[in-house]
Amino acid sequence: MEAVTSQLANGVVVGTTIALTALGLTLIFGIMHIVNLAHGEFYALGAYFTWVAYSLLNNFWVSAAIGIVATAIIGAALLMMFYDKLTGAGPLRWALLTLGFGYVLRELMQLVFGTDFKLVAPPLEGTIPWAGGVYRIAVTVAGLLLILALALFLKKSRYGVLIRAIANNRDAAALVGVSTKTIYTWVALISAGLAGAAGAFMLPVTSAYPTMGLEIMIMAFVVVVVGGMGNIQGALIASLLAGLAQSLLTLIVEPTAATIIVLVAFMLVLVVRREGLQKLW
Amino acid sequence: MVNALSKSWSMAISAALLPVLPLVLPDYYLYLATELLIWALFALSLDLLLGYTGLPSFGHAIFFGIPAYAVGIILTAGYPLIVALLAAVVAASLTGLILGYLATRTGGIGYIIVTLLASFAVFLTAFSWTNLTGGENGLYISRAGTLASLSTQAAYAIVAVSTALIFLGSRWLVRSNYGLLLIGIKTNETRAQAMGYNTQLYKFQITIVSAMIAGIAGVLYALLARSLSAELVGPELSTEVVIWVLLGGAQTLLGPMLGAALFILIKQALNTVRAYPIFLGLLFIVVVVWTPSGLLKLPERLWKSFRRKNETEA
Repeated sequence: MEAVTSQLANGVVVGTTIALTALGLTLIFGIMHIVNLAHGEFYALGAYFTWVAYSLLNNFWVSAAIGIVATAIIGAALLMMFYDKLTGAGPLRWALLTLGFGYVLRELMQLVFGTDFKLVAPPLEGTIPWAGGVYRIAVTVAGLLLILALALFLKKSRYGVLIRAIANNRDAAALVGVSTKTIYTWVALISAGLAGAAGAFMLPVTSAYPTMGLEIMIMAFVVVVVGGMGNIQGALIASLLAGLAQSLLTLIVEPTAATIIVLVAFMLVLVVRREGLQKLW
Repeated sequence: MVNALSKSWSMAISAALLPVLPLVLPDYYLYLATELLIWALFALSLDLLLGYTGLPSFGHAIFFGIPAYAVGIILTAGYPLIVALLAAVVAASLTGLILGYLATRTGGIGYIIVTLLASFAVFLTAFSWTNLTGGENGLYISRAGTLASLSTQAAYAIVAVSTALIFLGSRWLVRSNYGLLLIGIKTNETRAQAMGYNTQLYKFQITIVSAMIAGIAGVLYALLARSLSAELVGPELSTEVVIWVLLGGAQTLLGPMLGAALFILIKQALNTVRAYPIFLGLLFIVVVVWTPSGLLKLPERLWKSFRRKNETEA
């Protein structure tokens, strides 16, 4: 029984991580109409930057903050690099461009950091019976708070309103004087920062390794599609479902099989309901 | 005009080269040419979907790899070639049906993501189902009864004739009214629907045609290379073939074929370089940012900018 509850707790942590990553993905998709295939590498960058900062400063939370900001800046710089050349180029070119970024980033990380696991001790010690480590719970709470903050930002702040205005009708927003490029840069910063945050938070749990981004990205894409593309609430619920399903399935089958089962199940959902799970909530 | 000229020139050169190659090339390079033709055929099959119908499949390797595996598995189990080929046809049809159905259920960006995920799922399955596919070690087909048991020239001839026939067939298809309708779906699906065409049906049909051609390429590859690995169904090959199509020029049939050959030659030259994926990634970026309409249309673009320059001066 304890195995089940600890896997449940693990599922919530994994789900939160997927949610943070997926929100960045769905944000950039919903607003800039970009399928960002380098998004997983931003997640890995977040973990590696945090590791580097930690080995210099020895303070996890400060290092995580540095990792998140560094990832946000590099991610946004990459995304906006060819923005002018690719305006109106359609989703296909963006997908291939970001795929190219992904190849370069993954290989660079492997060259710089090697293929071994970069470990960091969890900043919070101790375990709670039935639920697992204290750090995991703290991460879940921090992740959910971040998501809440994002939702409030989009709903209430001036920038949030501008972002939603552009998502809603780009031309009309531009017509009344909203600078699309500035707003897009902000969106890219937030999107990459969210992935970086997920990577930073997971560093003490999974440690950092070169293929970590690829693994999370697949799940993030699944939940973005199933949650209804560009739909934040949908992505959030789908993330938790995916995390829980994957963690619980590892009790019965091998991890790879668990991933395959979740992938196929979510694709079936998509076939049955074209709009994903969107209208169920 | 320049475009038509450059196209017909490339075609004339290709048509002239095809029968001459086995006479002049040593065995090693002829084998390479045979392989390039197979990849070219694979690229052509994607052009029908991506270039002509506007279905941006990021899972096209599924159509290539699954029939290849079907042939490999049945041959390794000791059945004759004809049974293996039948199995490949069944496998190609089934994958075509499933992904064709997916194509009608999702559109645009959703299609990109779903096909990519499908390719990833198939890759994971092929990689971990060791009993069936050999998993990490790959699957080796014994030489007897494959293209490898023939002379290099004979293997080349079989592949070259199949490729040429399929190319001509596809050219006929895209120039027919059917092909025009496909382009119509790509340009404005709503209008095609308003004119009374069942666009979903056409997307479904062309997916199956494309799957069959990709499957033929896969089977030829299995019979020639005789070693299969999970990468043949995976997302890396799936996305690379999209780059081949763009590099050569989508919606030209010949362009993607030349793009495939060019890309693979570049790749082979870089293969020994350290940190090769960095160059691969940079190659992707270069193709996307600087050759938006493909190499085959490059002469036309140069000509246009040349004329514009002259006109402004005059």
